[in-house]
Formats: sequence, C-alpha cells, structure tokens
Amino acid sequence: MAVDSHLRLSGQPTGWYAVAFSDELAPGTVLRRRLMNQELVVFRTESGVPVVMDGYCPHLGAHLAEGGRVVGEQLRCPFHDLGFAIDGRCAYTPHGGRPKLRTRSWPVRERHGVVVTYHGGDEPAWELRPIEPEHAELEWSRPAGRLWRIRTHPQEIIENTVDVSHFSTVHGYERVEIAEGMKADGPHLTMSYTVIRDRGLFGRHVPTRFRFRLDIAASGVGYSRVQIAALGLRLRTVVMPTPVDDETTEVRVVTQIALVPGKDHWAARMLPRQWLADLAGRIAASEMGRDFAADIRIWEHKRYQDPPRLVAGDGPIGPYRTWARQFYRADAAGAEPRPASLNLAGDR
Amino acid sequence: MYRYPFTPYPNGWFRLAYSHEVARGAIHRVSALGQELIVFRGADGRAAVLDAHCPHLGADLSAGGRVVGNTVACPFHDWQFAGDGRCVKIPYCEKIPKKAATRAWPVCERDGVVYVYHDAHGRAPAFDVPKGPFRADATWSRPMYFKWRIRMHIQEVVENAVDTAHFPVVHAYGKPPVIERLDTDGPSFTVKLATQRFGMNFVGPSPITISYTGMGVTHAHLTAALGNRFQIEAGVILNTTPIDQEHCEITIMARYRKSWNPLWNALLRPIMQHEIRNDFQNDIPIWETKRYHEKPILSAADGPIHVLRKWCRQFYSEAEAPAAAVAAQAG
Repeated sequence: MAVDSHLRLSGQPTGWYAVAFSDELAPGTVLRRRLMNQELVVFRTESGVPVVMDGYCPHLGAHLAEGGRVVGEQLRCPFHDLGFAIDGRCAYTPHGGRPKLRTRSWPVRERHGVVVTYHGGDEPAWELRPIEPEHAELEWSRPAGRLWRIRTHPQEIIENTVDVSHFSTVHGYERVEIAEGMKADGPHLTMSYTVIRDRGLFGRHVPTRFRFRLDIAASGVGYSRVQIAALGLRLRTVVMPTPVDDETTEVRVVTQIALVPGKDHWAARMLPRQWLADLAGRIAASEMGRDFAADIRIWEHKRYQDPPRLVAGDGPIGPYRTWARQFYRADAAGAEPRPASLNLAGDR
Repeated sequence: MYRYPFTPYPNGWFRLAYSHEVARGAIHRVSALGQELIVFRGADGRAAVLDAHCPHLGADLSAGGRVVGNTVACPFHDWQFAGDGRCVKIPYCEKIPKKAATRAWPVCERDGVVYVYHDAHGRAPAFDVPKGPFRADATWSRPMYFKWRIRMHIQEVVENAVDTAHFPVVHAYGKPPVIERLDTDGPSFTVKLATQRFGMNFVGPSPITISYTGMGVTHAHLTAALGNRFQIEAGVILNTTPIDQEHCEITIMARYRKSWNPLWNALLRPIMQHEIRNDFQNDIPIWETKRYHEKPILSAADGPIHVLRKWCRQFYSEAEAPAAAVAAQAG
C-alpha cells in the first residue's frame, strides 16, 4: 500500500462514495463537492433525479456549481449558459444548434438518504450490497445524518470493522466476541460480533446496559453498514467515508431505526408509530455519533503501520488489507506510490 | 531547499522538553530530529522517550493515551509500553510477542531539562551532559524561559559564539569581544570572551564563558559590571534541537544571582528578559536567509571559525550527508 511522507495511508481506491445527504439536495439545488481532488457538481433535476458531473464546464472551464442553475432536466452553466443533460451531453446553447460537447456524468445511486457516486470509471464494476429482504420490508425512520471532516483515509476507517480488540479500548464495549468471522465476497465484506454496551444514554445520564449483536457489511472502503437488533428495534447505521483530497476524508454517518411489528412495548402502541420511530432514530443517531466520534482522534494521528505487529486476539487485519487491495487500480497501487502533488493527473 | 553539506541531525544530546512540561503521569508530544516522539513520566518519576506511534496498528500514543504505572498505554488497543520500549501488557492476549516493542531513546534529565541522545547509527551515548552554570536554589532567581523556531542548521548557533566580528554589527556591543581562552576537549568546547557592551550602558569588563557539550547543549556564564557598585551574574542554558531538515528550535533557560535587595532583584528580571530577547532576535534574520560557505573568505580579525568547524565534524557520521545537498552545494 502506498503511504505518504508522514507514513499515512494514501492512494485512491475505486468504489461508491457519498457526496451529499438527500435532504440537502431538494429539486433545483446545485452543490459543489470534491472527491479525490476532483471537482464535482451535484444537483437534482426538477423531476427529482440526482446527478453528479465534473465540476468544470468543458466549454471554457467555469465551475458549474458556482452560479449554475437547474432548468427542467438540465444544468445550465453560469458562464455561457450552455445546458447539460443528465447523461452529460450538451443539450442546449443560447444560440441554438447542438454542439458535440459533453461533460462527464458520474454513476449515481441514492440510498439511506444519501447520494452516492462511483469513482473508477463510467460504468460501475459492482453495486452496493443489497439490503437484506427482511430489512427491506420494515418501516424505517427518517434517516438522521451527521457529517465529520477527518484527517484520515477511508481504508483506515473501514479497517475498524474487523478490528475486534479496539471495541473495548476505544468504545468501552464489554465481552466483545466474534459471532461470525470475516467473510470476503468480491467487493463485499461481512463480520458479526456480540457485545455488551454499558455506556449509558445521553452522556451516561441514563444508565443502560444491554447485550446485542452487531452485523457489519462493507462494500468497498466507502460504505459500511452496521445493523443491530436489540430491545425490539432494528437499528441501522451506515458509515460512508469520502476522500475529498490527499489529507481529508468527509464521513457521513446515517442512522435509522425500525420498530419490529408485533414486538412493541405496550406504551409504544399508544403513540403514533412514525413519530416514535423518528424520535428513537434521533436518540440512536446521537448515541452512534458518540461511539463514532471516539475513533476520530486515533484516525487523525495514527500512521499506517505496515506490516502491523499483531497478536492473538487481534481481528483479521491482514485478510482485510488483502481484500482492500482490489480497490486500487494497478497504476495507483503499484510499487511506485505517486507523490501527492502529481495526483492532478486525474483532475480534468 | 536544504542548504548544508552535512546532515541536519548530528549526534549528541538534544533538549526535548523542560521537566516542568512533563509532570508525573503526563505524555508530551514532540517533533524533533526528524522523528515523531513522546516524552512521558511514569509513577516512578523517571522520564522516558519513545516513538510516538504504536508498533501494533500505528496509533499516536499521545492522542488519547495515558500513563499507567511506569508504562504508557495506547489509546487504540491498550497495549502498554515500559520506558525501555518493551510491551509489557496486552489486555486481550496473554502471550506477548518478543518483537512487540517500540523504539526507546536514551534519556538524561539535568537542571530541569529532558535531553534525548541521538546517534545516526544507534550507538550508546558517548558523553554526558554536564551540570549547568547556576545553582538551582534560592540564591538564584526563578528561571526565565525563551523559545524560537528558526529556519537554520544547528551548526550556525555554535559558529556564532566564536564569530567575534559579528558582535558589534549584529548585537549592541561597542567593539568586538576578545577571545581570552579557547579549549576543545573531545565533545566539549569552551570559549571565554572579554566583552564590553554598550546596549544598556553597561560599562566595565563583562566576561562571558560559553561552553558547548555537543551541538545541542550550551552553557553560558555571564558577569556584567554596572558602575563600580553593581555586578550582575547570570547563567544560561541554551539548547538547540533540530526539528526537521530545515528548522531548529532554540530554547533558553536563564537565571541570575539574587542580591540582598529585593527591589533590585525584581527590577533585574524585565531588564534581563529584554536583553536576552533582543540579543537573540538580531541573529534570526541572518540565520534564516544565509548560505553556508564551506571555504569562507576570512579576514585577519575574524574569529577562529575553522577551529570550531573542525570540532563540529566529530558529530557527523560519515554516511549521513544527503548526497543531493552536497551536489547542490557544489553547483
């Protein structure tokens, strides 16, 4: 793996990465984003289709997110008013005619209240792991999202998925046991634990102690889904690290809750279901946010230890790193690490 | 651009922290000698220096780590390292692998300064840090501290002391100091200067003795006569530590001998602070921008710079000079 001069992990893994929360992208909204040093424009057409395109207009280089506007199903450039359709073709000029001009339109999916895009080519080589059928039919609460900017690399964040022994040190979980070992299936990876969380709610004001099973499923190093079943609830937290440049990763964490039908508490049945689920979702989001934030200081200051010095009781760090290697294209992951300043090559 | 034909990191003792910055149970993070290091003090009161990053999965021990007994515990998986670098406890694993150790650096704590020993080939310390030029008791003042971060090579500080011709130009000295004595003895180097300064209307002779122990430790003993009645006696520990290829950190700890008169003692403090700060700040713009001339053109009245450069050579390990820098110098 390539590391930078501070021995921190670098390199540009392919995969699906979150670029915006759905609720910040109402129809007609235009957002400016960065992904691995590449400038992007993210917008939603008036009919509701989310689109991700190269940030710069291929015509004379204006940034489409700086004053660009959505007109119908097109994005109009702020400089010369050229209009680009969803597929990136130039479909409008103020002087008429159809120039053979096109910009790059990136693959887009929308899931759990987040817009994700694929880095690594115009055709995605794989899709995000599908939602389990038994979860798909549940009634999920409104996604509660949070965003962190962290000085780290996405692979370091997803590595925590398989790092059994850090759960007790960093998150204070007790009796962390592996329920199902790491399974790699192409770009997907799964692992399950049983843990006891004894940290209390609302910053320990309400003492709670419960045992639950934690199922983690990652797709690439930009998407990791944590699912918990406890107290008659299903909880789903999706951690989506997006590398914006060589130093910084933006992490979107979305939490949702579903009440399992027929298993509610009697008090729960007195209240409107959706209202209750949203409230529980907010509380869960704040708790999951607290657990997530405990890792940040480690990530910001750690280096990529290669090879790591592992002992019995450590998680499958080696197999994880082998699995992660598939996301680096030969040119980016070869023996010659590219200096950070030359990464402009991918920036058009 | 690296400006010198030798390594930025000579061998010797270098200051990493003042003792009061590393209380018992504290972890102090330092970037020095091109390394990321931590200084921590265990329950036994001894300071230890380790690499900042855990050899296990790379967490920074200072980012949330804590001192447990005489060990430092990693914030990531709670591995505990003793002051000698050995891992002594892994909470989830009985058997500790032999190779589970991080790099521990030789440490010496003297006169309230924590020093680390650096050797390009990892050899044991070849010399010790001597006692400082003042008595650490109530007959001397509380220490005054100064700190600068300067874009320079550590050798520039050493050269400065014997560069007598720069004193009247850069500093407020009436005329160049006279070198009364100059001894080199292995890793130490002592020069006694007879100076006469104008700056604060000091009159009368003001001898200064400056002694180096390696390039990182400088002790200076100054006396200044003020008229016929007053005499000021001060002791200075000046430490230079290379931080990275380009920068050094200079720190000064200064104390003066107290007189019977408390008013005089109180008055002297701001005066001394002003003088020391001024003296130093005058050198900084020159150091930050100068070039290193291997064969300088010297006049008859210049100080014995070549004697000093020869003494400096012992702290450079041969294989260490970056080849690119040598080429740049030649070009």
